[in-house]
Formats: sequence, structure tokens, C-alpha cells
Amino acid sequence: MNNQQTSILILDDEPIVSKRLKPSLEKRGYEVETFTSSAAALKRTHERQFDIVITDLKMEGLDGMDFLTDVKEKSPSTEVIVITGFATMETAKESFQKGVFDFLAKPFKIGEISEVIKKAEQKLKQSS
Amino acid sequence: MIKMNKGLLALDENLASSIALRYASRLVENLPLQLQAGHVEVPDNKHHSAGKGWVRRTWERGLIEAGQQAIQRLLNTEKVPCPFIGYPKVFIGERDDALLEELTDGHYDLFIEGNLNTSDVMDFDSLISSPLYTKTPCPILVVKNLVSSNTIALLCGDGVDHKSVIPRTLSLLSGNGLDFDLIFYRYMESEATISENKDEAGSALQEAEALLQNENLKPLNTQVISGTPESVARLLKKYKMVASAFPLRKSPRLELLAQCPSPVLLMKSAKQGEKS
Amino acid sequence: MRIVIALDTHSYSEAIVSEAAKLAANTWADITMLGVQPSSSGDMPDTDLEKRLRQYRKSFLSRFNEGDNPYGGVKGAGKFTSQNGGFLLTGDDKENEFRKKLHVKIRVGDATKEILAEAREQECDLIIIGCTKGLDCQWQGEIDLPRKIAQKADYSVLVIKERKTTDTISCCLDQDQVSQSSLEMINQMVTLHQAELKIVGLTDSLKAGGKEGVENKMAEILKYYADLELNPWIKLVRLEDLEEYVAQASRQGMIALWMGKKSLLGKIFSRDLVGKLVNTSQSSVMILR
Repeated sequence: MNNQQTSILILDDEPIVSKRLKPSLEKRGYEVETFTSSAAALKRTHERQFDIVITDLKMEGLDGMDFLTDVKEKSPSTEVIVITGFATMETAKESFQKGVFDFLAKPFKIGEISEVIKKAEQKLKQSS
Repeated sequence: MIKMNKGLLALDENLASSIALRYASRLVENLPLQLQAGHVEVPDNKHHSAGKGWVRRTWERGLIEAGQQAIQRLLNTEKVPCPFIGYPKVFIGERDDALLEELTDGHYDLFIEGNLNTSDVMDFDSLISSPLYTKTPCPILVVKNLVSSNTIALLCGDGVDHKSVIPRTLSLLSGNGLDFDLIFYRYMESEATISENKDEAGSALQEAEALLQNENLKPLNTQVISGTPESVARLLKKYKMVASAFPLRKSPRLELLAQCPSPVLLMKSAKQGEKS
Repeated sequence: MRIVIALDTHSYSEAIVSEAAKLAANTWADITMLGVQPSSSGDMPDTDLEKRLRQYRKSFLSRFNEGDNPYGGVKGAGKFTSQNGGFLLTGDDKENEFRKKLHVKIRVGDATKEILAEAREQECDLIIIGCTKGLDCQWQGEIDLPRKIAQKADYSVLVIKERKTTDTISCCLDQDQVSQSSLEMINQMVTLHQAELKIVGLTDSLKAGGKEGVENKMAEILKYYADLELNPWIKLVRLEDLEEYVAQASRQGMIALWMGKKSLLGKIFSRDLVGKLVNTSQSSVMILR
């Protein structure tokens, strides 16, 4: 990772989530792309690499777990943060088994996810 | 050959209609049922034109367009795949009168509308004693909630004209993938519901079972349940719908159907004026 | 998700620790276990409260299997050190070793004020608090404290009066303001309890206009859930029937209330709204914000 803007992809089928996160993260200096369809997000991750991917789990079509598996396979250095509205012990465990950086249950405040993003950035810097 | 039934789905731009529309879109997957959407524009007395000729036609056209737009907004919002026979029909006039006229003239087999489950039994009492419900010539499906189950409860009991009601119910609901439970309900003042032995129900239940057998239908379960309407209604929420004879006013059955959160299918006996 | 669990030395607090641990096991939320003592006589916290909080922490962590625990194990006894006029339990373990935070804190001062201040500091999403079963709903001997917290907090508050199996979560709505975070909080509760969801519209029989607003909002909520392929039950309850409804519905589970600024509930129950609901309810009441 160099000194360029940290790139973040946000995938959540509820538009309100991206609508809330995008401006706030851009204000903090991140480059943000948002998607409500997992197919479109997957296509985008095949076109370019993101430093951080934030994804919901429960979605129509390709679900978040399959999406993050694909992201980690294709780009192991990308840090994935899972956000979910229907959290279970199993999904938390499975997420970490798949190598996600963190798991956040909704609702969360911007401050909470910002802290997690900062930690993920630190990890990226350390490993680069 | 299975007969294709024709149903009128009354729609307004409100929560009850949203639920009814969603429910109906699933129902047509299970039943040989074709739906016609209908909406009544009730004229506002203040702007109502008492004019004649061109003036009146313009006024009516305006109302019809407003009604069509309201239904289209509902359909656009809900985005459910509900196939209709044709374009939604918009009627002008008093709601009950207009729907009753359409139900009579259009030879419908079923009338469907949404009506929310409320805490006041009198709301349901007023509904079923309305001119629309008392005079409708076909069964009425009151949709209160969306239920995913594929089992229908056939409610029987003392004093119900099973001979008239059960065959009509089955002819309407014989479709794909639907199961039936036969529920014999008896009022009892008790906090908990009591599941009783079938013998306790006596000849009324035997009659209902025999009628089902005549139609080559075996219910998944036959239950005799006693309790207050409130407690038994909670048990009925697992059903896709509860099919019942049209209840008498102030009866425990009416209270049970009022409190039941699932959709309720009201069947009239031949004596009560339903076409056969 | 960030949760503040307000704990005192009474048995109901012990019961809510396991309830909170279940929620934490699902959500991996950051947790603050908070005790409040009225005054401090030096560098040491109240002995009884300190002992209880250590027990609660141990009990909380015992709910997690080795390997599934985002909060780490108990490494040593740790000690309460002074921090900002209160006390924080610190151990040999470094926070960064664990994925999620589990803080144990004691604040000094007025209980209501301190709980609300901690919630604000943590920017929490939920405050969990227990209380006595009786009509006065005491916390740490103070009558109606959970009601005060629920009324004043800017965050959702879960008051656990008596632990019961939650088959249904009945969410009452009397106005048209429903936040996204309140829906998300309900979703987590529904998932945790595998419960049915009921959206209850409260209608004022004297005001026809208000009913329309409530129904429109209910239609939006129904659509939100339909998109998630969930079917909540819908019911309309008249305001005059609400207490009877709460008494009955709380036998089957949790009662939740959307508390918007325009809430009519404030009018019908005046200042005692939450108190009355907590009193009438036989299980848990969640105030959603």
C-alpha cells in the first residue's frame, strides 16, 4: 500500500447504508465506491483491486459470504469488513474463518466503523 | 377439468390493500383463480359536480383517472407479480354499493379485500354486518396478514350448515399444494386452550368429516379445541387462511374470526344468499 | 454495535448478564459493563460492587467457547485503576490482542446521570438494564430508574424486567418516525430469539388523521421487510386498549416502542409512559430510537 487514497468498496443491498457511509468516509479522505447489487460489486472487484471491502451478508443473488470468499481468493491483501443486520454466532465464526478483518453487527455509528477502517489501514501499511 | 374461478380484488392506496395485493399474488399460484382488480373513487361532496352532459363526463373522467393513478401507484410500489384479467376497473360512487354491483353483475366466485387485524372486535362486527358483506353473492376473503403457510383451517362447529358450506369451500380452494386441517371450535371460558377428544364434538364433527370424505379429502389433522376466542385465535395464526361459515353477530365464532390474525374466508350457506 | 450494560449488585443484574452475553455472542458487539457507586472514598472502588462486576465479567465470558471468544479469556484477576474520577478494570492482557472490547467500569455519582454519560461517551447503540419485578421497577434501590434512563437516553434501551422466552417481538408505532438503526436493532433481536415480529400500529380513535400517518409508515416497514423476504404480523391497537394489549403480548415476548419526537404515547401516559409500560409488561421492554 502506498500513500495514495485508501480505496473502499461498500456493498449493501439497502441503499440507505451506502448513502450514509459514502459521504462520511469521503470526508475522511477515502476513495469510496458503493454497490447495492452483489453481481455488480463482484464485477467491479474483478476489474480493480480495493484496499478495503465492506460487505453485508444477507443479499439477493450472490450472498455476502460468497462475495467475500471471491474477494479474498482474488485479492488476499484486501481487508474485508462484514456488516450484518441479522448476526449469528455462526456467521461471525464463518466470517473470521474466511479471513475477514472485522465483523460489525448493525446498527453501528460512523465512529465505530471508522475506527475499524483505521485499524485495517494500519494493518495494510504494516504488511506493505 | 378444474374450474377457473374469478375473483374481484378491491384495492385502495393503503396498508390493507398492500397486504391484500401481496397475499393475492401468492394465492393465484395455489388456486385456479383469475383476478380482476377494482377500485372505488368516492366522490367528494364539495367538488362533486351535479352537472350533466359534458360537464359531468369530464368530472367522471377526472375521478376515474385519479383512481387509475392511485391503483397504479400501489402496483408500482408493491412490485408484485399479480396477473390480472384486464386493466383495473375504477368505479365511482359509494364503496359498498359500487363493489356490490360489480360483484353481482360480474358473476364473481370470490371477493377479496384487505382489512387490518384490530384490537376492537366491533371493527370486524361492523365489517361483516355492512351491506357489502351481508349482500355479497359470493364468498369473501378478508386478508389481514401475509401468511406463508400452505395449510388451510376449515372451521366447523355446532350450528354450522356444514352440508352447504364445506362443498362450496372445497370447490373454491381445491388447488395445488394446499393442505387442510379440520378444526372444531367450542367456546370455553379458560385462559388456556384445551384440545379435546374428537368424541366430545359429537355429530357435527362427524358430519363435517363425512362431507370431506365425500370429496375424497383427508384433513392433515382434525382437532377439537375449546377456549376463549382470544386464545384460540392465537393458534390459528399458523394457517394460510381460516375458512368458516359466515358468523352470527355477537357469537363466539365472530369474536374468534375477529381476533384471528390470519386471513379469513367467509362462506355463506345457501340460505344466507350465496349463489350456488 | 456498542452496548452498555448497567449492572448493580442485585440478582436481576446477574440474570441480564447471560441475556447480554447471548446478544454479544451473535453480534460480537463492543461491551461496557458499568457499575455506579454514589460516592468514592479514595482510590478504591466499592468492594461489593467491584466483586460483583468481576463475577459478572467471568460469567459473561464463560458463555463463550474457547476459540469463539472475541473478547479473550480472563488473564489474571486484573485490578481496578482510577480513571476520570471512576475506575476501570485493567489486566495484563492488551486490548489489541482481542477482536472486541469488553470494558468493566465503575463510575461515581448519580446513577441515572452516570449511565447516560457512559452511553454518550461510548456512542453506544443500546443500553441494557434490569430491574425488580414489582410495580416500582427499582434499580440499585432507586425507584423507576430504568424508566428515567429509557426516557432520557438518545439511544435504544432494553429494560429486562423478567427473563422469559421471547416468541414474539411486538413493536408499537404511534407516529411516522422510524429510524434505520431502530429497524436494525429489531432485526438483531428477532434473529437472536428466532422470534416472530409484530408491527403494532397505535391508533387514536378520536383522531382520524393520525391513523393514516401510522398506517403509511407501517406500509413502509412492511415493504422493508418484504424486500428482506420476511413477513411481520400487522395489527392495529387503539390507544385506550394499549395497556391491556401490552399485558397480554408481554406474556409471549418482548414489547418494543418506537419513541419518536411526535409520539402520542407521551400524551396518553403523560410523564409516566415508560414506567407504565415497564410495570404492565411481564417481560422485557425495548425503547427504540
